[in-house]
Amino acid sequence: MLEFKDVTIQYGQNVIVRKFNMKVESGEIVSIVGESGSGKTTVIRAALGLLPGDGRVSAGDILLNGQSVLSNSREEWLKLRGDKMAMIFQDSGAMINPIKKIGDQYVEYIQVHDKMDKQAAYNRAVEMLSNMRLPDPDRVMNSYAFELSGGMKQRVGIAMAMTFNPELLLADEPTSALDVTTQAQIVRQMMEINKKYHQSIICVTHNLGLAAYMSDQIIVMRNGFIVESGDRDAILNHPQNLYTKNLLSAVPTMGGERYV
Amino acid sequence: MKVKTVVKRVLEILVVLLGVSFLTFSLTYLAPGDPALASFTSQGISPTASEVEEVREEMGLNKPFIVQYGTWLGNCLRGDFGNSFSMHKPVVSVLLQRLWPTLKLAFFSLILMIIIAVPFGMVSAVKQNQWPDYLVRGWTFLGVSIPNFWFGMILMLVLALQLHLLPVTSPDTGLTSMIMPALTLAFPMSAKYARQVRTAVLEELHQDYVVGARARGLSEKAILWKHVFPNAALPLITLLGLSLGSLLGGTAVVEVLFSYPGLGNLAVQAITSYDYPLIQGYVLWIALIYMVINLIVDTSYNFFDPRVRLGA
Repeated sequence: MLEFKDVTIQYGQNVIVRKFNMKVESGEIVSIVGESGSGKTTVIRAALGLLPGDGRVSAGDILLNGQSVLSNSREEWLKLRGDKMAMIFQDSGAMINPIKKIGDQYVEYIQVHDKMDKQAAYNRAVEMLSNMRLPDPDRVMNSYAFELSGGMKQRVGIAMAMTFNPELLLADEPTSALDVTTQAQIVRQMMEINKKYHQSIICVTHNLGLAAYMSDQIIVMRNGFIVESGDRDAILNHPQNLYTKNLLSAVPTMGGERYV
Repeated sequence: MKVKTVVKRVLEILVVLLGVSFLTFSLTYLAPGDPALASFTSQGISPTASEVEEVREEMGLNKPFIVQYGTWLGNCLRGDFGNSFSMHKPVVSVLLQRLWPTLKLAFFSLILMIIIAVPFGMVSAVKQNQWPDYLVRGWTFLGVSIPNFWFGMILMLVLALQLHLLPVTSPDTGLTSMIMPALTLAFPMSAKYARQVRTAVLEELHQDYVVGARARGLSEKAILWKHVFPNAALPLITLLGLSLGSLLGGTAVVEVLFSYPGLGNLAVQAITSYDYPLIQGYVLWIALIYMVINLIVDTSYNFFDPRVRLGA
């Protein structure tokens, strides 16, 4: 469904990601694991055509359902973003305007992609929020981002991303700003979504435990290169690369057993 | 802002006004020049010593300083700011008469300024380091460097003398009379504000919510006007308040240049004719308007910024 072919990404003369290859099938969950600065976020930003500043794909190709997205016009991107592809960020609260109510921005977002009147859009938003098991969705709609807890904001972010049932969800450290209990809930909700709607998910994380828990495929990145990639079980049980082995051994053990 | 804070601020204003009144009263008392004598010379009469003495007595200038101040303050509290020496009318009515023209000019030039500054500042930020940005930055540099009286004179020369589009002076407050003074005030201000808008918008464009909005598929136009601009405008409200304050005090140079019947022009007249009560009334007005506008600006954040209102 989404394919990266030898993609090289650079900011100015600075090469951030080199010869990146990835193939995501429909309904598959792929995790990109790596330390800060390894280029993992850059990869999913590129998939959405949202590289910051003067970032650009300088070599290779990105194919969505067999079609290159690199030559997309501005309008074509606008149609894809938030509709066919949606993104969940590390801090969803920061991703919405702090001085506008969540409801207004949710309705605005729905109306950009769907010719719905305000009331219908509002109802749709409330429905999405309740699906994410947010209590009192009307209150959430009537709140500003700073009035909600981290977990609630993250659920709002996921609800928004799910609104148009996108083929591809891009998640950038979706749980790392949350406490452990909330993390587990959010991850479970994302996996439920994946099972129910057969969406592909690309999840960027520095948490190998999380990647192991949810993914079908794991890609380990370091300094802009893919160190190792493959099926989850292959990576976890038979890591070939020293860096992957080190990462695995860094996952805390409990009672002599490793829970990844 | 809570009601309690507002009450506190109002009380502060009263204290500051008291201080200001004392300072202006002492300064005018200490200033050289004799208002009694001036009241004669302004009418082209050279008085005898006894005549001057008589007027001094009448004006209360012979009494000790503190008594003079006490009397004046007491009258002020009753709304009587005394009579203007040079115009022989109550200070309050003289000030009020000039207030409306100044109000009109202030708001007119402020609106003109916003109409010029906002689009230019936005273009400059969005096209950062491209030719529109360089053009706007060049223009703003020019705008803040040119003295406004010089710009006003150029306007007079071109619009009034060469093209005969507008009257040279602005003795009334009609639209045609206000265009040149308003432009003269708005031009350097808009240059300053275009820079502020540019800086604020650039800062907002780097915020995460812009990335979020892009990821949701919002158009750049919608992001810019519905999200970035309202956020960028927030810090500018304070500046706008300061500008409004100085405009409402009357802008002496521009008003004199165009003979515009505003407060600034009046202040200059009052100073040149040693019109103590008028100067004092004028200074109190300036102090009051600055503080009131500041208070309004601070409370307005309650309205514009939910983080302030809800105490985030």
